[in-house]
Amino acid sequence: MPAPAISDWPDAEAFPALRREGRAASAHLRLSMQQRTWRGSIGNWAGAGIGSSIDFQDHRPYVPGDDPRHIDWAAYARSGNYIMKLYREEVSPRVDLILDVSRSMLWEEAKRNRLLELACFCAESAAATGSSLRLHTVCGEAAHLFSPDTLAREFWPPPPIESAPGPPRLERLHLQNGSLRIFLSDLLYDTPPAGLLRILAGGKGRVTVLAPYLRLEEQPDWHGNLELIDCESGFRRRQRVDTGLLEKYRAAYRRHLEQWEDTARRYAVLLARVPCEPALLNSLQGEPFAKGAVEPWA
Amino acid sequence: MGLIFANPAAAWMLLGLPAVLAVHFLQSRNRPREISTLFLLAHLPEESKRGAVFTFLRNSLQLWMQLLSVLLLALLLAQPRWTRTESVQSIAVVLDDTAHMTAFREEALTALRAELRRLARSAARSEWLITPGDSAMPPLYRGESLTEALAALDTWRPALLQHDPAPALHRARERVGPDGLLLWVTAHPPDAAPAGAQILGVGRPLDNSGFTGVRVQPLPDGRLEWTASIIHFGNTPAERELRVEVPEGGTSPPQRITLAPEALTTLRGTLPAGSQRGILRLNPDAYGLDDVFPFLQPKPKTLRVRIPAREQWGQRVLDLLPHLIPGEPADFHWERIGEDGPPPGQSGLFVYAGENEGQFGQILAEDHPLVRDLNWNGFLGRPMAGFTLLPGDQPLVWMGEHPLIVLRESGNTRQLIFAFNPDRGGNAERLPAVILTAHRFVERVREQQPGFEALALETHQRIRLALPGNDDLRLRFTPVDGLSREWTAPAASRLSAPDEPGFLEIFQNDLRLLEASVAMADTSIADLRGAAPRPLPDNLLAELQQRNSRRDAFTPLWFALFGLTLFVGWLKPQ
Repeated sequence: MPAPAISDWPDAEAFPALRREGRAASAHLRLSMQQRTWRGSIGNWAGAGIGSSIDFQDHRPYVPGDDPRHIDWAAYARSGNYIMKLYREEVSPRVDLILDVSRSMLWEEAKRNRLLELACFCAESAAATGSSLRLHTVCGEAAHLFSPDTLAREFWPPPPIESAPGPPRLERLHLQNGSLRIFLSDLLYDTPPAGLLRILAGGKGRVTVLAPYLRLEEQPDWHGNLELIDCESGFRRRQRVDTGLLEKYRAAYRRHLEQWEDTARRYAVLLARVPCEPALLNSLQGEPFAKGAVEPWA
Repeated sequence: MGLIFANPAAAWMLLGLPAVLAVHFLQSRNRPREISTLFLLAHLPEESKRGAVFTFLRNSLQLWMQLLSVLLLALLLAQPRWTRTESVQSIAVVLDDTAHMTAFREEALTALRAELRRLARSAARSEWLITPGDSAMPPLYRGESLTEALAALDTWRPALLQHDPAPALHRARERVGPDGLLLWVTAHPPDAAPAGAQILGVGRPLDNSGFTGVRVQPLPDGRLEWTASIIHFGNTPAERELRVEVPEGGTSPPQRITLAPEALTTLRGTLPAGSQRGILRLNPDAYGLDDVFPFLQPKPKTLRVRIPAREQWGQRVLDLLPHLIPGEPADFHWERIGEDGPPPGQSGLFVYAGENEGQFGQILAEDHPLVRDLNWNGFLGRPMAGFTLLPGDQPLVWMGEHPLIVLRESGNTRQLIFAFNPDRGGNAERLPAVILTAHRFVERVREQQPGFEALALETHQRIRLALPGNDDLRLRFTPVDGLSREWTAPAASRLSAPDEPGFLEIFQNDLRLLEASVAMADTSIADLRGAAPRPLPDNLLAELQQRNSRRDAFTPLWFALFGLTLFVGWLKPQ
């Protein structure tokens, strides 16, 4: 049985290159923060509550203790009552970045690199937008939260990884209320997606799923008699592969994705697939940009 | 119009078919492959059983395309051609008729049949000429039927002694023309054959031993003693068994003999009392003609001689020859003559003892069988000046302008005239040339004298008989391993010994003229160590096919199909 190795995580020499790739992409694109209201500490983005920005939001009667500077004197002249002008709150969004570090994400170098490039991109993007970022990793039962100090380093140490994980136990994560939840996963689980997306979307969270995928996953080059080995469980299956079987596989792959997309729409989750082969920026300018998962800097 | 392949060796390419099948069979050796989407296959049936070495072939397009591509490649490499319907080829086969070919006859026929069948496919029609190497013999077959040509090969009986194949090859070349194919089938292939013949070597190196000759002498007790010579052509000693048969009945027990390599072995024995002929046999080897040797005691014809008692020198000369007896009427006279010359109608040797001697001078011999190769330089005598040559006389030896020895022949009369007087000094009585000339002349007279004789002949040896009349001859031959057969021949016909060992008798009316043993003892053809196989040139058939066929018009199509199958069967899956 192939045990997921800690060596699947890039070492300190390889990691900076991934960070540079994410950083370079974040110079052109960022996580989509507009068109939404956020909760969080004071910041630069429209919050869900009333704040001190210059964006007028509403009127309400004056109550003792209100800041008299916000009394709408024109309204008082018309009505003789103290009417307060309310402005939109400006906050720093909370971002929960969740990395699926199961072996299916790490054993193939291209997909592993894309996962970490995306993570770095999200971290850079969050930092540039003043968001408060919490980085979670999940692998079956194992959940891990990186400390802010760790995130500031150039090299992120490997998180705990289970040897034979099942689907990620997202309920073990401590997600922030009203946060933007970026879930980086290939979604290759033999479980219904509704359970996972329900957890992600809980607590008024806004969920974006970025799903790295390999071209060989949707167009495999298998041929002849193979002993197929599941990269996570080590389960072996002797399989003769011909054109007919490849057709059936591709149909099953499409059905699997369609199931995720349908469920995502139901839970208002933004799901975008990210190819692993092109450069990160090119990959993000594809489906993630089209679906609004990322946006250009204004 | 028949389909032929210019490169039949391309058939080896068909081994690719089982190779492709084997590859598909051996695909059951599953290659491990780690993937992340195995759960997507969970609902599909598992295809192969764990532990199975082979799996059944699947009816897949890829398999069929690969098989088809192998077939097409084999077809293209074989270079298919279509024989032109109007094509005609002439093929002549000259079979080596040397007797030692009997050792390789079956191999030769097998190889030749296979080659002729192959060659027949290179043209729409073939004109065959099967002929023996004996240019005096008629062809075994001439026509267009391969079946009949092959059947005619069975009648081939090689039995000649050493001979030159060139006449037969040139004659065959004349018949097939410069463009025809001429095959020379032999066990001893030379570097090149005359008349542009292709050589088909059908032999293999063999050790051989056999008789080279038998000498028969009477013993004082009347029995016959034989002395046989056996030669062994081999690089190692050979063990053989020798038997002596007597035609009257009886065979000696086998005598084991050891023959040294490349050596002549002499054996001696006696026939039982009363037996006049016998057969020596070695246990047979591959070349059997020299393993049996019939023999008898040769007996020349008896010649009745009349010679005066005073001719002592003449008596000494004639005493040296066997089977000369005094008798009347005499067949041979030795007399002195005068100026009248020898009496007409009497054969013999006549000494002209005239009175006048000519001058001593330079001696000169004519080119005649009686005096050929004799040395006359030591002759010390003088010619008779009074001897007169008659028309028809053949002077054999001259001294100056005078004839010294003269041959006079007319009808059945043969006279040799010594035109010198041996009594007048000189060395004529002792000079070997004079005595040998006299002996040769006696044998010449004996040869042309009708009468019985017993001879030891070799196969195919020319037989010269002096016949008393012009009636047909009756010949009886008893092979050593067969039944007697008789046939008749005109008196004027050319006679020769049969081509197999045995005993021959010749009669005219009831008069027995000849009894002879016939044996094969030609050592020049008995050494079989130089025999070797040699196939026809590889390109010979291709050249014939090229000449008589045209290229397959569909070759470009086969190329295109091959490319297509290659793409579909191999390249596309990659």
